[in-house]
Amino acid sequence: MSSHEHEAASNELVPITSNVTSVFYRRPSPEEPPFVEVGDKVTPDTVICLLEVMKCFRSIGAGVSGTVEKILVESGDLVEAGTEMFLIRPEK
Amino acid sequence: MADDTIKIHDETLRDGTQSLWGMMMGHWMLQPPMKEIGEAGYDSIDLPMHIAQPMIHVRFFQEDPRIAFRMYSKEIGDTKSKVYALPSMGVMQDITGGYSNKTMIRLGLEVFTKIMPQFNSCFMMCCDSDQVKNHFPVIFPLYREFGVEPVPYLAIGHTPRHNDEFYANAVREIRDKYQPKEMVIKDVNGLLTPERVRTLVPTFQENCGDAEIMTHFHGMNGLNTYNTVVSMELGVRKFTTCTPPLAYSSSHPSVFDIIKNAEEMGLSHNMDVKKLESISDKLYRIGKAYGHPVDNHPLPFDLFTYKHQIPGGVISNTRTQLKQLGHEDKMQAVLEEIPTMLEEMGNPIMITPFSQFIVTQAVLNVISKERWSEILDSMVEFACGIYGWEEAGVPYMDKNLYDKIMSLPHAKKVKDKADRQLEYLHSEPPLDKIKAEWNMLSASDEDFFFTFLLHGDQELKKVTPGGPDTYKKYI
Repeated sequence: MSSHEHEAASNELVPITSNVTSVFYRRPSPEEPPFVEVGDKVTPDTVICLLEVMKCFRSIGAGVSGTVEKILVESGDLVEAGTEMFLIRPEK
Repeated sequence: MADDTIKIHDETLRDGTQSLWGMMMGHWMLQPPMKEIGEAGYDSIDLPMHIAQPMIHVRFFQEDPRIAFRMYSKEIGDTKSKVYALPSMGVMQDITGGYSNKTMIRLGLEVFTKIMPQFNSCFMMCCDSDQVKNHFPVIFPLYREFGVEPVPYLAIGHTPRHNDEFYANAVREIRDKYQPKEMVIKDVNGLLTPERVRTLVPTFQENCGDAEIMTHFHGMNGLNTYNTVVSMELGVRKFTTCTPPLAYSSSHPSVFDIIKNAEEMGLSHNMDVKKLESISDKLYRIGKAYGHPVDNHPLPFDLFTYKHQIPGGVISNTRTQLKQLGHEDKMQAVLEEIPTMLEEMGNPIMITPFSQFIVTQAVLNVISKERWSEILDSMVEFACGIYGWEEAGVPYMDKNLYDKIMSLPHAKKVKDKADRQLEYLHSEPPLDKIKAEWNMLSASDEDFFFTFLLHGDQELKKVTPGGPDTYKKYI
């Protein structure tokens, strides 16, 4: 178990992971602001990042209602399958 | 009765370079053969003056596309050939970035006809029923207003939906509504067989009215030269070719082979073979100097290609990218996934940009734990109708897949965009209003249009100062 997983488990944080090795982007385009910042409220339908594979993008939804607690990767990082990208504190 | 003189349409510097050299052509690679192309006897020439070319000049060569386009015009001079340019304007912009509407299409035509007064014909991609219904009513009259004749491309699908009856109806509808001077049988996947050519060509001939039929045959199955000869035998008299080294492989038949076969059949031509040889010699030297493949040959026939319909260039990129992802052993599984996906997607014709994102989605379907658990944004755009509706195959999509895609978080936003697209195309806001939205109110029309095509002015700022004299020469 990674340290983030420990943190997620101990604090009931929900990790958002990459299911396929991809490049992570926090913004829709370089000129635009990030999809979310730490502290932002999200719903299951909130798009929180883009993942790119073979020059094609997919928008990733939060999948849960809550608050962005931590952003664990940087724009442009290669995220392996299973990498945690965000920790969300779910709404009670 | 068919004329005994054939006409040739040249795609060397446009589709030839796109098929074989990834469009990577800078100012001094395009300039050397261009004058002779204008003098070689072609009935028509397609110049690399399409909406992607400014980006190629700027991003990959740091060259000013406004200067490059003027160079094309100067080199082509007072050619007797018809000059085609600017394919897809009015349609592709919707996909690649900003919306297009009547104002921007008109601006594009004003700018381009000013830079290149010889520009007098334009291919219309790809003439599916959505475009005939939605785009042609805007595009045909606008282009004709500027003296530019639209030439409908009919992309040939290799799916059960795209039978001869389908094309008979499409050709008839276009003939009745727009009376184009030419129509093109566009085998974009290069998969036509001589048997299909023998039914498809008469279907076009019976329904096209006074329009001249032109072939546009890519070479994925290695049969495009023979298919051209079969078309010749059936009475077609205008054929698309390229000059080696930009002929063969997934590109078009060689102009030398087509005129030789025409001569064998007792037909004449207007081509200046010495000029063609000189063009070919220059292109070999340019290709070698820049490391582009010059040793191109007809491709082998492979039945499996008919199942996945993925062009060779995309397959080769996919293999490289799978390796980078650590899944180099999955190539065959990816290709085998595609026929199932095409069925689920309603059998779209595999034209750009479908082939690129379909193959990437196939990769995701193969390497994820579950098929369609990871869905590309392009697939959402597809289902929302950004790339067309009826003809793209959306009504024929697997319902479960359609529902799954439309339940994704951002699908509603994309659907709203798709629904507004047509209304926007038909709109004609004042040009100053659009310029103001881009903070370019004081810019010239030309500068604004190129900035619009390049999705902003960032790349134009990186152009090498000093003009072509300071650009590197390759030969």
